[in-house]
This record gives sequence, structure tokens and C-alpha cells, in this order.
Amino acid sequence: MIALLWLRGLVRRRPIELAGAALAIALAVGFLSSLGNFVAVNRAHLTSRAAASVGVDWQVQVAPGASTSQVAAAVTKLPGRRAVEQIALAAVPGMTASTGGATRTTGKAIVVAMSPSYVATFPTEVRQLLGDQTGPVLLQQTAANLAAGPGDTVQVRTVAGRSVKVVVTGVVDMPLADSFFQTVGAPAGVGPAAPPDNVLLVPPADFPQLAAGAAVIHQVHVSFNHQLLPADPAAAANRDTTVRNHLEAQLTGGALVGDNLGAALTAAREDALYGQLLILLLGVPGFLVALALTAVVIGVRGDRRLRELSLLRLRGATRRSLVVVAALEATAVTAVGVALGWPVTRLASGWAFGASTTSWSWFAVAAVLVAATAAAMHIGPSMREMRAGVRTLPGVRAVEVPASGRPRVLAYRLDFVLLAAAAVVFYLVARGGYQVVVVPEGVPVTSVDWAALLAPALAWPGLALLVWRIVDTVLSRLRPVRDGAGAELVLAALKRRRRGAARGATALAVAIGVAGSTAVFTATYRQQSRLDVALTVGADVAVQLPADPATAQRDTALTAHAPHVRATSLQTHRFAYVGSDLQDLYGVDPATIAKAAPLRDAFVPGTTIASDLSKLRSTPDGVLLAAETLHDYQLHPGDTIRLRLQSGAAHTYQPFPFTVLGQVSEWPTAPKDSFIVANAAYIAKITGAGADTTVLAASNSPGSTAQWLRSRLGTTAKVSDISAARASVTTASGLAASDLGGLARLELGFGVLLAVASFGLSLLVGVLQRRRALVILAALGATARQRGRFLAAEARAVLAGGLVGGAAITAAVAAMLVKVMTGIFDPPPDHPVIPWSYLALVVALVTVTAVVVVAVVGRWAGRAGPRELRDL
Amino acid sequence: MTGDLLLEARGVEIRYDDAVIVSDVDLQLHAGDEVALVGRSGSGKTTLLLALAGLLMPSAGRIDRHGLERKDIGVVFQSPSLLPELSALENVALPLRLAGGASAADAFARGRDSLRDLGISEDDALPGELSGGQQQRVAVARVLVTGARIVLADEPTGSLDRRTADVVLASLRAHCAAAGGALLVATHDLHVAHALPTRMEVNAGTVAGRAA
Repeated sequence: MIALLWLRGLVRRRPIELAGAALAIALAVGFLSSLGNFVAVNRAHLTSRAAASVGVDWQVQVAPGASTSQVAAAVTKLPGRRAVEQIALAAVPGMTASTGGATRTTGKAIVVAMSPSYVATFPTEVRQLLGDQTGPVLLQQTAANLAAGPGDTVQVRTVAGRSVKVVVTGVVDMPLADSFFQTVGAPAGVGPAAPPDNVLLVPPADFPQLAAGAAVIHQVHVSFNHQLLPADPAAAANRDTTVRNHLEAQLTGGALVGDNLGAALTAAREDALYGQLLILLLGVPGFLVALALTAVVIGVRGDRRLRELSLLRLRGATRRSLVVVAALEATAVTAVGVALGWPVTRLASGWAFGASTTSWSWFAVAAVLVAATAAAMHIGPSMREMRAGVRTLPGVRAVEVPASGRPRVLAYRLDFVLLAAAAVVFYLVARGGYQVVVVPEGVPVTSVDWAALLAPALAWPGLALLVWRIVDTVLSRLRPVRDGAGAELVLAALKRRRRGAARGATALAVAIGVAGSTAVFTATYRQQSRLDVALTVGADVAVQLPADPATAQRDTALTAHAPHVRATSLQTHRFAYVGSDLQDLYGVDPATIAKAAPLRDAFVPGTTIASDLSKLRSTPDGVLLAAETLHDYQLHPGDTIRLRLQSGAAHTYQPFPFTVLGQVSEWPTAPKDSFIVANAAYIAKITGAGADTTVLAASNSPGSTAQWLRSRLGTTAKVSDISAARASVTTASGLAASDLGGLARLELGFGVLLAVASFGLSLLVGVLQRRRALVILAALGATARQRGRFLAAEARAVLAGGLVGGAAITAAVAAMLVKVMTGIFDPPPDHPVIPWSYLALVVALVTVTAVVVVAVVGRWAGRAGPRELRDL
Repeated sequence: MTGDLLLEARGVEIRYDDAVIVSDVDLQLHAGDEVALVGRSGSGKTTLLLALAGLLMPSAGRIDRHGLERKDIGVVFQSPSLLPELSALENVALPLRLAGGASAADAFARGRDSLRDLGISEDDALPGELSGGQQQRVAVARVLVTGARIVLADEPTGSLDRRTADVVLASLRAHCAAAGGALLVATHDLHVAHALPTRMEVNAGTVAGRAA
């Protein structure tokens, strides 16, 4: 009964304090629950996106001598199967077309037997560009090579030595040609083969005469119902593997499975683990700040609650009933806070990553954790006080001795210990090429190097304590800069209250650190994602030139004068042997490439791009090699290396000497492993042969430049641009920017909220705790301005300490995060990107908060009304 | 009637939350007056004192300070009301520094003298490190250091032992005599009331009478 009366009184008399505590609880619950929601939604999203990125889930290749129909029958019985199509492939010596008075011949070509229904079943595999697919269709590149289109006749030379004429009905693009033409059953470790340039797709009825005498590969292409896959990428990959094993066991060597779905899900497993690591690294510090905020808000009423409980005790209430009273207050506030946490979660999840559902389990976890904190803050101090003895009224009103000392942990130099440990762990983790997430291909087990998280985990508290120590030290050594208006007294008061100021500054620094480090990390990630896409395309816009020199020259000139283009440069591609290793060789123009292509100093370890290009310009036979090549062949700058390149009309491989200039790790359009960069002009001179040439263009508006070029170049040249690629391609590192975007929005949104709330609250608590002092000052004749100086001094100390400390924490943690999570950056960044606008917003908001609290709340708190004066 | 009229209340009424705390009070303080304002707890003594000090505006009536400024009226509050983060000496120097007329060195020197007058030697001690009695003497020193001509003291000896109370009261009286001012002490301590030459009784918000 007494507890209910108490609660009713609280609601009537202290609504603002109770509402503040409930809102803080709602914020903390909403934050953690939203993070959990992100984990659940992101996993499902990764799975569905990985599955959707695959054109054909399985390419089941029928073993020589096995029955295609048997394999197809076995596949048809697989659980979750959606569709099955059969194709056949055969290599032919070449194709010829006579159009426009010229006859053009290709080299080796692939003829594919494909039923008209295939396109409907696997719509992402074949994209119709011209004509239709009622008869033979040419791949875009082949059509360009032969200068043939719908209605033209193409002669196919068969292995049997015949020449078969077909009339082309269309031209298509095969966006997923890499996987379509993969070598099914290739041993692990063998790099993927390049897809063929010359492809003819024919109806199954036309195939036998074209494939006469050739070795025919039969494949059964399968798609599964992706809705039936488990939401978790790892579970989905395991499910896929078990079904595949089942089929292979059933067919007993009759077929090999090219598991595109499994490969995509395996990559998604890695992304999911990185997602979880990001939650731990970015989310957990934010949640701890939110919990601390809850504790502080509940603590605001702590002294008053103790006084009130002491009064109850004096009036005869039992200890048990006091605990019940405190528990009832805790329960009521927590219940309201948790209830409000639900809409906060819905709103935050919807805004940050478009989630329309909420994970109950994560909400429950968040509610329990926050409720436990709230209960401890409500009941803990009451229990302690009750055990220590009843506070009598005079005791309660005794003058406090302001806390100016440091926390005991600082005396033990825990900050230095933690930071030293973090530095050692970070050094050990980051010194070599390590992977924080290891997802072996084909193995269902994934592993995370949790030790990598130890460095940030140690650094966070270490940095927070260091900020506390520095603010405390600076405040204790401050001297008044001017005499007059009681500056020395303002400073004396600040020094003696420096524990509170240092605590406030530390809280603000940590909150800014959470927001700032997240912002830096995500801005860096966004930049690298864009760079990754640009590297895949080659530049903002890339135009692959046709073989015909006249057309190529025209297309080059058109590209250089296309709208929004800033610079262009030609890059050739061919292959060269280093020893027995066939590598991609890129011929560049060192004078122009840097302006047209996205080159970074990080691509050339130990030097700069400008320096390497300058060396390349002054050394015509110079080459930049991959680290692996330099290591494997024991090469050093200045050494001579003999590369074998195709030269002359016969296209035979001949050795040519080159001078090693240095190392290169990334290059536009280059593969991840070994490749060579050399002077295009020099290579053309020594080989006398042409090569695939691409115009790389830097554009201020890649989308519109590409559109303009496509409309003018037609099908003769292939135009790519980063805006189109970014929309369809996830980054090579796997985790797409959109995945991180949801987490970033959540973190950045709550980060600002936490920074402003923790700072505003710490100031507010300071003002409220000093309300009596402000009234005394007013009674002694202090003007509002003089009273404001006492508050502003503390606000300035907290603000300055918090901002400087926050900047330091942001820099340290962001650098650590970028290093620890280097696996998701591809390519690794030169340096972290600083999102100035977001950081300026955070600084502006906390500054405005300081002004509002000091000016408005301070004036209100210093009001010396009858009630306050009678209390003196 | 011992000197010039310093402070005069005419028909003063103070309401708070619709309750009349002080009603129709007429009061005059002349230079040299030493008046005890006696009455029960809740009778309106403190409220009247705050109004006379200019800290509360009367709801009705008028208070004339006859050319005195706010800083010429010092108030000793019921509890010491010291700033917890300032030392005893800094608390005493505070009103001088707020008024702006004294340099820091001058304010501290005068504050030190004022503390010595009241028997306090712990200049650097924080209020929380002093006893209740010491705190009250620091609060009195904080008023006396300003040279206020009128001192309004609300139960200034409530937390003091008899001997210390006598010292504090003597200091207050000596100060007023030296400043040519007046002393008004709200108290329900009969010893204090009888130590002062004049007594006024406050009853239910009205000043019932004046007795010498």
C-alpha cells in the first residue's frame, strides 16, 4: 500500500525525472534492439542477395560416358528444385562473316546449344541486345569482331572440317559469362579461365551439325527455390553443400557440380561474419554509452530518492518496505521505458535499414540488459544506504565535500596499462598480412580471429581513462587569466568540482568517439567501395575499343570529347609469360594514365604513383610487377627480366628484355593476383601486334557520359561506367556499401543522440546539483551573468575536454578499426577519410546543447524564488 | 529611536501560493537599532526578513531603504549557505568580489580579518570539512566583511553552543555599532532575544508589538 501511494506521489510530483529515466531506458533498449535487428535482417539480406546474384545455381556437368537424361532425372528429384534446363557446349576452330565488303574471321569459338525457354528460366544469363533468339545468336563481342548482326550469314568451321552457314537472328550479352563458361570440376587453387570472346548460341536442333567431330560438354543447369534457404548464409551454404553431396553420391561419378550458389553463399558467410564484427566494434561501445546514459539519468534522482527513503525510514518504514518502494519505482520506470523502446526500435530500424519487422529475441535481450542496469541503479544505492544506516535529515542536508579526486583506477595507471596492452596486441595483429575472418572455400567451418578485437576492446577503456586523467590534470593546473569579477573563485570552484567535469568530458569524448570513429570508418569504406568499383570498371567510364583501327580511332576521339570527361588515357591488355606463369600485361601511357584512372599511392607499396609513373616514362622498357612475382623470381628494382610476348603476324611468343622498376599491388581492371604494368608504346613497338585496348576516362558525371557514348558508339564498343556498375555489383570485398549503410545510419544517428544526450545530461545534472549554490550566489547579489560564469566555466571545461578527447579517440579508434577490419577494404585505403560535415554537425549540436543548458536551464536554476530562499 | 531611519516597511503583505505569510507589517529600523524578531516556527519571520533584504518582493505594501543599496544590507541565513566548492576564506571574499569593488588580494585580506574576528583560522578548509558552528561563523563573517549597514540575521546562533553564540552575537552588534547601522535578528532563542535591547513579536505573519 505504502509503495503504491509512493508511486502515485512520484508520478504527480516528479514527472520530468521519471520521464527522463524512461526515455533513457527506451533509447538504450531501442539502440541495442535495433543493432540486433540489423544482425538478423543483414544475415537474411546477405543470403537472399547472394542467391539472387547467381544466374544458374548449379551447373551439373555430365561426365564422359554418363547419361545426360539420368543426370537430369536425378536433378529433377532434388528437394527445393525450381527449374532445370539442359545445354551443350562445343569448341569450333572459328567463324567467318562477310559484311560491308569485308571478310572477318575469328579464332576458336564456342557453340552453345540452348533452348528458347532457357532465357525465361535463367533471365540474368542472357540479355538480348538486337533481334531475337528464334535462331542462332552472337555474343556482343563476337558480333563486333565479325561486324555481323541480325540477318547476316556466319560460316562456322567445324572440327570435322566442314563449313556450316547459319543466319544470325540476334545479338546478346552474357553478363555472367565467367560462371557460365567456367571449368566445372577444376582443382582448387586453379584461377578462373577467361570467358571466350567468340560465342554462338544456337537452338538444340542446329547444334549437332555445328558440333560434328568436337568434344561435346553436356550440362544440366538448375535453379532452386531461394525462399527455402535458411536466413543465415552459413546455414544456407551448409544446406547447399549437403544437397550437392547427396546428388554427387547418388550419381556416383556420373556428374560434377559447378556450385555457383554454394560459392556465392560461402562469400556471404564471410560478409556475415564481418557484419557481426562491425556490430561488435562499432555497436557495443555505443550500447555501453547508452547504458551509462541510462545509469546517469536514473542516478540524477539518486540523492533525492535516498533522502525520501530516509524520511520514510525515520517515520517507521521497515527496510523491506523501502526496498519494495525502490523496486516499484524501478519496475514502473523500466516498464514504461521498455514499452517505449519498441517503437524506438521500429522507427530506428525502419529509418536506418528499412526493416519492417522487429526481432523479438533481440528486443528481449536488450530489455533484460537495460532493465538490469536500471534496477541496479534504482535499488543498489538504496540497499547500500539502508545497510550503512539511516540518513537523518540533518545528515542529508550536511554540506557536501565536492569530489575533486581521481578514480582509484587512475592511481594504478590502468589507462596506461590498457593502452600499452592494446598497442602490443594491435602490433602483433597488424604487423603481418592477417585475416580477421577466415572462411575456407568448400569447408563449412568459418573462423574469426577474435584476438583482433582485443586491441579495440582494451583501447576503448584505456582512451576513456586517459581523457579523464588529462582533463583532470589540466583543470588542476589552470590559473586565472585575468583578475576581476571573481575569476579566481570561478576557477577555484571548477578545480574542486573537477571530478564531475572530468567525468562529463570523458562521457562526451566517448560518445563523440563512438559517433566519430563510426563516421570515419564508414566514410573510408564508402570511398574504397567506390574505388573498388572504379578499379573493376577501369575508370569512371571505360570504352573497350573494337579491333578495327579506324573505328577504334573514331571511338577514342569521341570518348575524349564526350560530355563531362576530364581526361582520357589508352590502356592495352595482353598476356605475357614470366617463366612459365602466364600473366596479364597492361600497357599504359604514363603521361596520361594518372589523370584518367583511379590510381592511389597504396597501389605501389613504399613509393608513390607519381614517382613510379615518372620512372616508367623515363624507362621505356620498365615494368612494375606484383609482389608475388618479385618474390617468386627473386627480382629487385634494376634487374632485367625477360618476358615472352606474342609478336609478329604469326602471334608466336618471343622473349623480350624488360627492366624491373618496382612493385604494384592494384591496377585498374587487373586481377587480384599477378599482373604486369608496362609502357604501351614500347610494347606495341617490340611486338608489332595489336592488343585489346580500352579508353579509360575520368568523368564528372559517369552515368551521363556513358549514356552519351552508348548512343553514339552503338554495339561496336563496350561502354562501362561506375554508376551502373555500383548499382549491380557488390564490392570485391563482399560486404556491400548498402549493408554497412544501414549499420552506419543506425550508429551515426544514435551517435549524435548519445553525444548530445550524455553531454546535455551531464551539464544538466551539474546545474541541478548546483541549484542551491546558484540560489546562494543570487542571494549574495551575483548577477545572472556572474552566476552564468560559474556554470559556463564547467560547461567550457567539459566541452573542450570532450571535443579534444573525442577527436583523439575518434582518430585512434578509427585508425585501429580500419586496420583491424582491413579485410573488408578492397583496395586498402591510403588513409582514413574524415567526414567533416558529420563531425561538424556533432560539434555544433553539443555546443548548442551547452549554450541552451547554461543559458536557459542555468537561469531557471538560479532563480531565487520564495521556496528556494526559505530553504537557505 | 537612536538615529537616522535606515529601513521602513509599511503595510507589507507577502503571499505565497495563495497563502498569506506576512500581513500588514509596519516596521522601522534606525541606525543603532538592535532588534530581536521573535515568534514561533512558521510565523513568517524568515519571509519578512527576506523581504526586508530585498530578496522577496512584497505582494502589497512598500519597503523603503532610504538611499541604501542592496549591498548595504547583509543577510545571515538560517543555515550557513556556503558554497561547498569554495574554501572558508573564498566564501567570505565572494561577496566583495561579486560587488566588484575589491581586488582579489584586498578581498582575501579583508576576509581573513573577518574570519579571525569570529575565531576561525581554517582559511583553506572547505565548508564540508568544518563543523556546523564553524560554518555558521564563516557565514556571519561573509556578511560582516562587506561592511553592510543593516544586518538581517535569521537564527544566526541556532547551531551554536552558548559561548560561541555569544561571540557571534557580540560580533554582529559590534559590527552594526561600528558601521552606524542596525541589526535585526529573527530568533526563537530567548537568550538571544533578551540579549538585544528591542524585541518584536511576529504572530501569524503580523508584527504584534515592539518592546524594549
